[in-house]
Amino acid sequence: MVEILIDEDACVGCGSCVDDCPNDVYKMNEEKWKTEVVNADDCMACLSCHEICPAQAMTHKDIHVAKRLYIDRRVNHVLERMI
Amino acid sequence: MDMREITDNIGTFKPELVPKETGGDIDDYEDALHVLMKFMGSMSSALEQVSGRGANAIVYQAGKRMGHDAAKMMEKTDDLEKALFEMGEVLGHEFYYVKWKPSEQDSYVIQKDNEVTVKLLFMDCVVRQTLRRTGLPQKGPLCYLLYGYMVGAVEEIMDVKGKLDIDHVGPNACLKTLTIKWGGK
Amino acid sequence: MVKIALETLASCSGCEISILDLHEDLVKLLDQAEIVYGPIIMDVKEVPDDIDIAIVSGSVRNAENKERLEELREKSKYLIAYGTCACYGGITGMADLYTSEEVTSRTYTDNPSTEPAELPNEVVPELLSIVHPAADFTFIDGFIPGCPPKEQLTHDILIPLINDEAPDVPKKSVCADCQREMEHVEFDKIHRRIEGDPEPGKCFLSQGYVCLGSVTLGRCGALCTSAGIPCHGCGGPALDVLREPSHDIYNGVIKRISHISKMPEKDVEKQLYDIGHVIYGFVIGSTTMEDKQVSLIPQLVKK
Repeated sequence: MVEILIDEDACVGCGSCVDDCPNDVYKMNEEKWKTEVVNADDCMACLSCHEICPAQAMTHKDIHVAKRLYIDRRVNHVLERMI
Repeated sequence: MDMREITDNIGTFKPELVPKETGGDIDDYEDALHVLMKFMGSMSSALEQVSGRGANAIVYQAGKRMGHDAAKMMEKTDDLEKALFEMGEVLGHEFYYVKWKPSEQDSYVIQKDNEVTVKLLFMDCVVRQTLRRTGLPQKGPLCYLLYGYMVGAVEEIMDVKGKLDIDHVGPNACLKTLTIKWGGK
Repeated sequence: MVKIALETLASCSGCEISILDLHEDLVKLLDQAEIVYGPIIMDVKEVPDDIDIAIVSGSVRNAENKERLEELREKSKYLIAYGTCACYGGITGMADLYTSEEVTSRTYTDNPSTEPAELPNEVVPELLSIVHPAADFTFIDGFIPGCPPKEQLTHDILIPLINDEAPDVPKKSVCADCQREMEHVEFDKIHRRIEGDPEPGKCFLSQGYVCLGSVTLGRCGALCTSAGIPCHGCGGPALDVLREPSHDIYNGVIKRISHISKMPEKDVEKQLYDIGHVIYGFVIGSTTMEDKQVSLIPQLVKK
């Protein structure tokens, strides 16, 4: 099971993660207008939610991280030094 | 600029002794990888523009042939789990996959009539990396390379017919369903 | 005492003011550090040796900027590119949308509100052919984008740095700071900032305005959106845009507007205006942004 943390301050309530997740991991909390994790068991760590979230509101802990060798090392270098 | 003006990577060549300058460092590998990704992306997009759905078939053939060849080295078996494990060893780092099942399902492998399905989660994938570098969408012709590969390999190892459907594509993992039908090729 | 130096290249001095804006926290900073060089805020003329932390702001626009940057690099242990101009070229990068002749003629020979004069060539350093961020010429140890970086961020970064600790600041986009709520609303017209009266509390993208918040690095408290104007992208690209070769500010905003409004992406593209200034205004000088295959910067730059 994947542990997913939602940063509620960051979440803007767009619901895109709810729409995009293929396994219905998220559900909109209509009162708070924020997303909630309701089904972490079915999360396959595809990170489609990360891709669409405008505010980087979720964190997936301890998942297998696929290699991204297509990114220039020069760009990785800048990212590492971003404060 | 002509040959006499070249000043970098100079080495002395004897046919029996290739100079070490022909090798490269990490920067050379990175440049080569990224240019190859650009080529693959270009080819895939041009194939799609010119042959439409035919592009899928062409790339699928290429993958299938690769799969058959790779599987010739693998142990033949009737057991799907064992076959998946063998293929995983070969596909290894470039196309790392695991079995996956939804939480309410009991087992990974589902048997129905003479068809067996199992969901596979492809985590590392060189095709995805190529598409993300060139800005092409996933689930296009290039993804059929992997489809062909899996089908070719599984057909060779298990002597079955196979197909691979793409359920979902994502930036860190893609879900596919492998279906095999007993009854020979 | 940790020695800090500030250097101003092609800078508006906003970044220097942002460091002064530490206000009373400046006293806290000066308990453990001394500022040994800082044009605008101090009267030291020569760059001293043995600088621990050098903070350079502004882009490299002329030959003197380049020399000063290189001198600072030699004389400092840890060099920080402070502000969007030092990190990505910033707004000074918009000069690249025009030829050098257009820039100099507008300034000196052909300006409607001044007496025309020749381009000065004594004492005035030569312009480089394009605007460069600091990283194009020297090794940079740290990047702090922002226009300028806000006081709370600067405080949360500088205080740990002078104590030799790693700063722990968020790295999310402006949307993460923004309190407005995003809704999916169908519409087919994009408004310019001057049109209409935006509703408070509701996302600007949902109201048909071009807001770059989702593709811009935040840590600014989303001051602009809370004051009623859409984000202009002054923090530079969000980290996922910087990282992914297929993600760009232009296609990011288009995808976002299309996703929210259900407008086809082609229709959104047709309605975007003045892309060089509105979309890429702060990042034209950045090699990373220009190199992306999907970037429109090469088409816009006239050098």
